Amino acid sequence: MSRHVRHLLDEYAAGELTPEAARSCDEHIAGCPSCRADLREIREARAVLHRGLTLPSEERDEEFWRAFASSVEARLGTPARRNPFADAAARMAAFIHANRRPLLAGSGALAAAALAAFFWLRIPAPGEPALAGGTGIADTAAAKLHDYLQRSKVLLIGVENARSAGGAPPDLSLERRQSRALVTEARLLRGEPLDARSARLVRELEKIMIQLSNTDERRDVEIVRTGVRQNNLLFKIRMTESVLESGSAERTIP
Amino acid sequence: MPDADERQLISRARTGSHEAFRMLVERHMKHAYNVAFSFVGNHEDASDVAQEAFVRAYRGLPSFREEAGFGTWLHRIVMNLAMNRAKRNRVRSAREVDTAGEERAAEGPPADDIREHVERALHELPTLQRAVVILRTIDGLSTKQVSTILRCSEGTVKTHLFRGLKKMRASLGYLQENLS
Repeated sequence: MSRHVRHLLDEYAAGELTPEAARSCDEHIAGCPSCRADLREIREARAVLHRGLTLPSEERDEEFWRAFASSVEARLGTPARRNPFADAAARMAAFIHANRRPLLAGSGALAAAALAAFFWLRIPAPGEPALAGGTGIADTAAAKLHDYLQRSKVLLIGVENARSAGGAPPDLSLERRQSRALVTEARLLRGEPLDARSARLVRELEKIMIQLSNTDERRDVEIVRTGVRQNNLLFKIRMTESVLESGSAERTIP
Repeated sequence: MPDADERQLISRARTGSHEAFRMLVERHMKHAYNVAFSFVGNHEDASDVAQEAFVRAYRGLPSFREEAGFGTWLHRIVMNLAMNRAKRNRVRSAREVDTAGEERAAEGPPADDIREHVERALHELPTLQRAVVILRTIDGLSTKQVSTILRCSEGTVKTHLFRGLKKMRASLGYLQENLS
């Protein structure tokens, strides 16, 4: 007798075998009670599965499907689950507290709380548009750039202020994760119709974010901080933000 | 490999075209939903998981290498999210006192609800077997497609499918009379 054909029975039952393979199976099954029994069980299981399960998507109405893509778009304008930037702000306060400088810690905590509140309040409820402008996925290039710059700024300020007790290198694992996400965003922004100055700033930020994402625990974050200072990145971000906020973005970013 | 039209949509979505991405969502949303549902077993989680999968896909587009189709790639994302969600739900429900379950037991299982029986039997399968049975039998994917999604050999898919279907048959044998 030929070898058992158990591995082919499902495709045989589904009628997906080539005519030659099916013929070969037929011959084997005819003379093999074991494979015949297996085939019967597989056919019965498939029948139960097909009869028992209608497609769940068919149970949702048209309105649900019309709203589905919009819901995805609304989510794309919001951080997935948590707001890492709010976390970063909270961690800034923790860093400062760890330095045991009460006055600075107090003001740092206040600043961190303000930042956290700012970013928290920016998260729209599910289904709401992402930005105050109410544009959701259809954000303009300016809105996306503004959002990207704000988050880059918070991250860089966090890195600038990161200190740890006892002289050990600060733990920047969260910041590294955020910088990787910002590198991806910078690459997406490249496809947007940005003006030359904004495009240059995005490229500079991308470089520094790559540097930050590659900084391991042992290396001094001073390299990143120096890069930020030498390139005046925080200043450039603030300038570009003010241009965008003043509405002149319409003139510089088509 | 995605077809030419889909490749164009992917390429446009990569450069930030929301319209192109929306078209990809509309093409694949029902399929993503069905896959999610078959793992999580309820509409609320299926909807959440399917939407989240598209968000991850959008963010992951720069790293999508187009070796497989967009659908296959998305399928993998949905499946991973759905399996995590199902696992989390199981842990949560194990911690909670299942008073609803006690009520159901008192009433006895609804004899005519084949779907509920099938879903229960499916969820009793080991994860990989369940994935293979769902993808192959319910979603109608080929053995090759399933092996691409699960990143295992076609032989492994066949083995798990065979075992999974045998177990389903053993668990649901009592339904045969209702179906015949």
